[in-house]
Amino acid sequence: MKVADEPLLAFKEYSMGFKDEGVVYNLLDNVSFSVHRGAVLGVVGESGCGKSMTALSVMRLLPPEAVVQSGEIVFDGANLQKKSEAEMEKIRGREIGMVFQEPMTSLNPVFTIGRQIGESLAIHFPNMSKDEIHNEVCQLLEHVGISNAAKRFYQYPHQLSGGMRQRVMIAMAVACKPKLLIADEPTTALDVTIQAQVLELIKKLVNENGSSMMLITHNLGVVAETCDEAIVMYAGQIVEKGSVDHIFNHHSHPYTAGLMASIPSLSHGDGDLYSIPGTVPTIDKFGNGCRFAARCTHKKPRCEGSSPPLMEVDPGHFVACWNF
Amino acid sequence: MGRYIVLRLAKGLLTFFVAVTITFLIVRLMPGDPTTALISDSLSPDDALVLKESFGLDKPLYQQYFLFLRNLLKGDLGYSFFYKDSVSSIIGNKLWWTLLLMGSSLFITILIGIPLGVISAKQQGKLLDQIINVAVVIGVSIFVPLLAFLLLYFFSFKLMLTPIGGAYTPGIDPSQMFGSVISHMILPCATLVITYLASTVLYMRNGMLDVLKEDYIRTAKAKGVSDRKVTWSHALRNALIPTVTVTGLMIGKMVAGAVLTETVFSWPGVGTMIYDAVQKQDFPLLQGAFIVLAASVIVMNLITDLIVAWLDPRIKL
Amino acid sequence: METMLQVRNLKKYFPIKGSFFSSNPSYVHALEDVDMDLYRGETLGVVGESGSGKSTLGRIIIRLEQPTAGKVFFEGRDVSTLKGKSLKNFRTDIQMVFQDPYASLNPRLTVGSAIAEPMIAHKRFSSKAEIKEATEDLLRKVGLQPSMSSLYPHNFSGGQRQRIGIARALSLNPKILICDEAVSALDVSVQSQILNLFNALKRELGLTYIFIAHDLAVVRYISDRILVLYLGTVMEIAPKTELFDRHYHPYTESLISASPEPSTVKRKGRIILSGEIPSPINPPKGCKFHTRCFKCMERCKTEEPALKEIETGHFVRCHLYDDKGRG
Repeated sequence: MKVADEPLLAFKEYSMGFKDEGVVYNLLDNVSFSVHRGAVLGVVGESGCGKSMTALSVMRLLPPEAVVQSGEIVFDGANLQKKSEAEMEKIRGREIGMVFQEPMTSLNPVFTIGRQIGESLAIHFPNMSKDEIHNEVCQLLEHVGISNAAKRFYQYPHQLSGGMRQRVMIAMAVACKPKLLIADEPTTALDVTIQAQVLELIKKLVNENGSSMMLITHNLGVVAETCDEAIVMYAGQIVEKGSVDHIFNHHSHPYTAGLMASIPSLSHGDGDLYSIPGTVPTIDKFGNGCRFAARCTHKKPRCEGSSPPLMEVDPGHFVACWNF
Repeated sequence: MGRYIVLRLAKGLLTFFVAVTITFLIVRLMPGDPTTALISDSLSPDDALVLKESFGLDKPLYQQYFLFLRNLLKGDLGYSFFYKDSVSSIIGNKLWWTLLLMGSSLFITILIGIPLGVISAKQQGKLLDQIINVAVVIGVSIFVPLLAFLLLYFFSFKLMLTPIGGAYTPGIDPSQMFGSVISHMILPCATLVITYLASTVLYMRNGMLDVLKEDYIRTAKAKGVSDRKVTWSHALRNALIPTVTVTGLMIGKMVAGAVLTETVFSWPGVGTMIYDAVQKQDFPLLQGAFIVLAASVIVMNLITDLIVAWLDPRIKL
Repeated sequence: METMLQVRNLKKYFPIKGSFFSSNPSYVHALEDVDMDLYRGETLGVVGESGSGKSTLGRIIIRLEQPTAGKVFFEGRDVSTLKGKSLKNFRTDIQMVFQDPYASLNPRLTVGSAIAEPMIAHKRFSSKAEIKEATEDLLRKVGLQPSMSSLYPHNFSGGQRQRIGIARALSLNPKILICDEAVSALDVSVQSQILNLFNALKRELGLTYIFIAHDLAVVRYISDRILVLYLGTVMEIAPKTELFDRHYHPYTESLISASPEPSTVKRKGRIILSGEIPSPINPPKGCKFHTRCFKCMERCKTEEPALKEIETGHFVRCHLYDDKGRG
C-alpha cells in the first residue's frame, strides 16, 4: 500500500445517471476512489455495474443521454468536471490515454494506422515535423511488438488481426506518454495467448513511462495478475476497495465473496461452483437501500432501508456493508 | 487497382451490350411499322418498299441486328427520319447542352448538399435540423415540372428577371454569350438542384448519424481530436461512402430525367430532343437517344464505383 | 466404456470466394486429420483459440456441415450417409446449445413456441395439451417458471435466454448435447449458474456432452476429458487431471500458463508466446505449432508429428515424445 501521497486521479462522491423520457435514473452512486501515481487500479464488476461509465466519465466522453448529477473528478490537482471542452481536448490523448474494448471497430477503417497513431502526436506536439512523427510512430509500432513497422504504417485496420489492432490502439494511447492510461476491457475480445501478450505489453509500457493505469475488466484473474489495487463495483456502487491482497485474500463484502466462489479456476479444487442467487437489477429498480440486498445471504432489515457507506475495516481496505 | 478497373469495365461493357440489344428489340417489336410515320398515304407501295429498304426494315430481324451492331461500333446510330441528318451528329450537338446543365446542377448540389447534410446531422433535433428536414421532404416529393413551371412563372413571367426559354438569346454578340447562357441556365439549374439536393442532404445526414455512433469516433475523441476535425474529417470520410454510391445512381437518373426539366425551359438538350422524337415518332433518333442514355448511366455508375473504391480501402482492388 | 461417437481422419476445408479462378485456389484449413472418440456419459471438453476449428468440429458432428474428407460414426453408423427417416432420428439424438443467447432465439416466437417447435416438427405428441405440459416441464427443468412460456425473448436476461436455449435443445431427449461456447457470453455469476445447471441435467438425464470453449478454467471445471485443438489439428487429448498435472504438449503448457488466475500467488516461469496465431489459410508446414513453440527443434519445421498414445488415454502430437508410446 502506497504512502499517502497526492493521488493522480480521485473520484469524489461522483454520481451520474441516464435520462429517459424526462426521468433521470441514477447509475453511479457517490463513487469515491483514487488511483495513485505509478499504480495499477483494477475496476471489477459484471454487466451493468457502471465500470465503463466510470472510465468514460474521466474523459468526459459519456453518451448524450448521460447526466452528471454531482461530485468531482480530480486529475493532477484539477477538477475535470469544471474544465471547458477545449481544455479537455488538450488533456485527452496527452495527459490521459484510453484503450477500448473492441479492436475490430475502434479504428477508423479509411485511415492508415500510421496516420491514426501519428494524429495523437500531431495534435499535441504541433512543432513536430512530419518526418519526426513518422519515425516516432514506427518506433512505437516496434515497441508494441508489431514487426515490419515501415510496411505496417501504410496498412489499413482491416488488414490486421484482432491482436495487432489492439496493439495499434495501445500505441495510439501511449504515443504522447500520458500520465494515466485507462484500459476498458482491453483483452476481452482476444485469444488467451494473445491476451497474455497484450497484458504484458501494457504493464511494460506503464512501468517504463512511470504512468498509472485504471484497468477495467470483469475477469478477476486479470485483476489478480496485473493490478496493485482494486475496486469492486455492483449496480453503480463501489462495494469493496483495497489492495489486491485485501480483495482476494481477505474479502469481506458478500458480493465479492460470492464472486470469488463462483469462478472456476485452474488451481482451486473441483468442488461445486457457488452461484449467487438472482440477477443484477435493472437501472429503474435500484431502490434506496443497498443494491445487493435482494441477493444477499447476510441481509438484515437495515440493508433495504439505506445504502451503507464505505467503511474502513483494515488500513486501506474499505467495505460498503452494514454487517461491518 | 488494375484488376478491379478491368473487371469493372468488363461489367460495364456487358451491361451496355444488353441495354443496346433491348433498345433494338423494343423499337422493332413494337406494333406497327416504324416507317408508317414517314410514309404518307400518297406514297406508292413501290416507293414505300424502297424507303423501307433504305432503312433496312425489309431484312429479317437477326440480320438487322448484326447490321445495327456493326454500325454502332462505327459510331453510326442511323439516320433521323425528320432532321434528315445522322443521329450521331444531332445527339452530339444536343448532348453538350444537357451535360452543361447536368454538370452544373450536380456540382452545385454536391457543394451545398454535403455540408448541409453534415450540419443537419450535427444539429440533430435542433431547429436548424428540423427546418432542413422539412425542406428536404418537400424537395423529394415535389413534382419536377410543377416546380419548373412555378419558377418560370414567377421569375420569368411575373418578375421578368430571367429569360423565358432556350439556352441563350439568339443572335447575341459572341462576347456576351457566356453571360447569356448563365442567365438562361439559372432557372433550370435551380429546378434540378432543388430536386436533387433533397436526396443528397438526406443520405448525407443519415450516413453521418450512423457514423457518429461508431466506436472509432469515440477513439478519435479520446485522442483529443477537436470536434470539428472529428466531424469533417474522421466522420465525413466514412459517411461519404454510402452517399457517393447513392448520388452516383441518382446522376444516372438525372440525365434521363432531363426530359421534364428541359422541355419546360425549352433547353436545347437531349431531353427536349427525346420529347420531340416521341411526338414525331422518329425512331432512329429515339433509339439513338436511348443508347446514349444507357451509356451515360453506365459510365456514371462506373465512375461512382471507382470513386468509392478510392475512398474505401476495404474494397479489394 | 461404450463409444458413442467416432471421428476418423476428419478434414474440412472452406474454399475462399473469388480464388476459384486463380491457378491455385485458396482454402481455409479449418480441420486437418482429426481423430477422436466420445464415450457414453462423459463430458469431453474441446479447447482452442481462434482458427482452431473447434466450432467447425461441432457443426460437422451434428451435420450442419459436411466434411471434405474423413468420417463421423454415431453408434456405429456413418453420419454422412444418413438420409430421410434415419437422418431425422439422428437429429433428435444430438442437439446443440449455441453461444449467443441473443441471436439464437427468434425474437418473434414466444419462448414456449421456440421450445415446442422441435417437438412439433418431429411429431412427438398428438395433442396441444401434451405439448404444453412437456414445454412447462422443460422450463422447470432449466430453472425457469412455466408461466414464462408466453413471454418473448426480449423479456429475459442473457442467462435466462441461455436456459431457454438449453430447454429447446433438450426437448427431443437427445443423447448428446454439443455446447458451442455456451457460457462465453455470460457474466461470471450467471456463468456459474449455467455450468451448475449443465452438471445437474447431465446427472438427471444421463446425457453426454461435448463442451467447446476457449476458457481453460471453465473447461477444466466441467469436463472429464479434454481435447486441445490448434489450427485444426489435435495437439493433445487427456483426462482432466492428467492434462493439468502432467501435460506434455508445449501448446497446452502455454495455454495453461497464459490463462489468468484469480489468485495473488505469483506464478513462476510464466510462458508468453511470441507472434500471432498463423492464418488457417496458410498454415505452417511441419508441426503447425512450430512457429510459436518455445521447444521447437529442426525436425518440427518440416515433419508433422503423429498423434501418439503416451499413456493410457493420453495422446500427444509432438516430436519431443517421438520415442515414447505407440502411434
